Amino acid sequence: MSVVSRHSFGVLLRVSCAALLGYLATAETAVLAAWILPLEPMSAVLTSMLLSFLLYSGCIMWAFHVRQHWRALTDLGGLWLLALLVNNAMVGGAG
Amino acid sequence: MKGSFFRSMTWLHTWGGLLACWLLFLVFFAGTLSYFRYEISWWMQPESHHLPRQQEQNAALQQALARLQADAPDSPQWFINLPDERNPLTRYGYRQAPEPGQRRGRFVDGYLLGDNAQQTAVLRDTKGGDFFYRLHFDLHYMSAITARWIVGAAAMIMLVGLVTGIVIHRRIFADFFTFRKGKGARSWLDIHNISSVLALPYHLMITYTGLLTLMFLYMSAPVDKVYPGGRGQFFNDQNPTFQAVKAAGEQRDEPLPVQAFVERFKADKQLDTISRININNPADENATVTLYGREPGQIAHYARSTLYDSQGEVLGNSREGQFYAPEKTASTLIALHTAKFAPWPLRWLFALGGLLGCVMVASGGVLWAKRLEEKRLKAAQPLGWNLRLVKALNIATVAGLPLASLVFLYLNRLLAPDFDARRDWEMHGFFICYVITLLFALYQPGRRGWAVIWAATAALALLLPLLNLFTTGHHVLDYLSYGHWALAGLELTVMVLGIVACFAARHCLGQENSGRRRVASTRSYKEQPQ
Repeated sequence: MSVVSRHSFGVLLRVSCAALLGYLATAETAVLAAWILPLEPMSAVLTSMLLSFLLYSGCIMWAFHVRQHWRALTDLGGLWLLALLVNNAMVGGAG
Repeated sequence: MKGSFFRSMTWLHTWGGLLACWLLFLVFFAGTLSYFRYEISWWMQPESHHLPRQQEQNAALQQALARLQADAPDSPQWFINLPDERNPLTRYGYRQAPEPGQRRGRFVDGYLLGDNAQQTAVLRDTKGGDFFYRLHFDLHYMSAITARWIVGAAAMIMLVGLVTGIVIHRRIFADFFTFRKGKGARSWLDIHNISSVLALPYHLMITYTGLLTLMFLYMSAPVDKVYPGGRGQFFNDQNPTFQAVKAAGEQRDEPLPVQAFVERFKADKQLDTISRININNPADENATVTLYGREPGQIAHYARSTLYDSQGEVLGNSREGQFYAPEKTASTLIALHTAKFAPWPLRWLFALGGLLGCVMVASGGVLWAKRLEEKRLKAAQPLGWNLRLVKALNIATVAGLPLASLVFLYLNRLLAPDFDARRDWEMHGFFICYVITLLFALYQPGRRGWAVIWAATAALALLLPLLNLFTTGHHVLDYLSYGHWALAGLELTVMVLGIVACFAARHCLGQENSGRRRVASTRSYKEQPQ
């Protein structure tokens, strides 16, 4: 068995997905939430920032909960890309 | 990941917790001491212990202004902090004009001597309680921003650790009252559960609000991308007193009518007292004055403030009347973290929560080591360097940080008051002590290691009042008779903790034999069939 086994590679994937992709997905979703919340800009921005840490916790737990290692990559990456696409579409539409 | 939700969350809780536990202990420990930041600072400047408390705010203000006018008429910035219940002296300070190559000049500060306008108090240079306050999110020996990201990552692990801890804890109410003594890892699990569950609302609050205090660093994307004008505009809109007014470059003739501003400010904002004054470019035509006051009985974390120009024209006003709900929510949550509003009984309750947080984190680390040790002993495997490292880090952090803090206090009294680098060496001493403790613990990672460090902590803690008596002539009874409750309280609390450390040392020594016996019996059990 090599030093870096299949399992430990999987764990490494989950850890990096949780920390990095989880953060990117959270930040992008928080931006999306700040755009679409029907509040004053100041309120919308603060509300989404206040709640973002709970979402991040959820993302991290999700990365370790899913059955297959690669799901951490696809699920969190998917959330990130989805939020990114919608955000770009909205900014493009508005301006 | 390993089959069920329960098992994957247990895995995450265990390994995330192990990775961050020593840093988290440091944050909990230094953060808990920060509840008594001003009291620690006061104790660490014994020259101020006999000074009378300044009572009259206007007189103090006039004295400080006169002082600043005499010391630094051309400084770009003055500030005055007026005394309150927790800070007995008026603190004034100014920024020196920047030297070539510097973006900002150095800060110089001093304290007014009680009721004498002509003299200032010469207090020894120390970081005081601010050391622990800064340590708990800025760490030391590294840039503050790097440190904040590291502490932020640890705080996220803590938050996830709490949520996963709740999820995997299936008997949360039964375990509220469960403690099985003398059962090795089982007992440590009980301690971990009790300390976590008893103060669970506190743990969740302090972790989440800790992240919020730095949310403009950690999660700035929404404000940067969505708020019109970005972060800078956000801060300007949220607090219109944050305006930079450029100096005109022309000298002003008559002094600023600060007293008149203060009266107007108190009337406009319905305050009895003010807490702080900032004056930018005091000698310039375009001088600005910012006044701050705190409304008593308010939890939320904002001061009422107004920015005046030199003619008394209002340039900006804090918006406490027009806050949006999320602003109020955010500032109340952040206020729960800093506990500036907390009266003494509540402050102690918060400190108790912080202490339970320390126990929670520490027992988690010890539990991990105990389980691995029992597993390896049962399997008759060598204990291994990784277990030794974890055990040593446990000792050096849990018992070593209190010891290092005491060394910090001792150095404060032992270094000469006029030694130039004393402020730095108090702090170096803290870290040197930590490193020595860690080396010792690596050499002696068992119960004896714990016992020695606890004993050293106990000795320093119990001798602290004596040290103070011999180096400054002040003692607890002295403080009590003067009504300096905070100073007496600090020494008495340290002594109580010293007694606790005494018991801890005795407990560790006492168990050394029984531990060996248990190991022996496991071995003989293993060996019997052969």
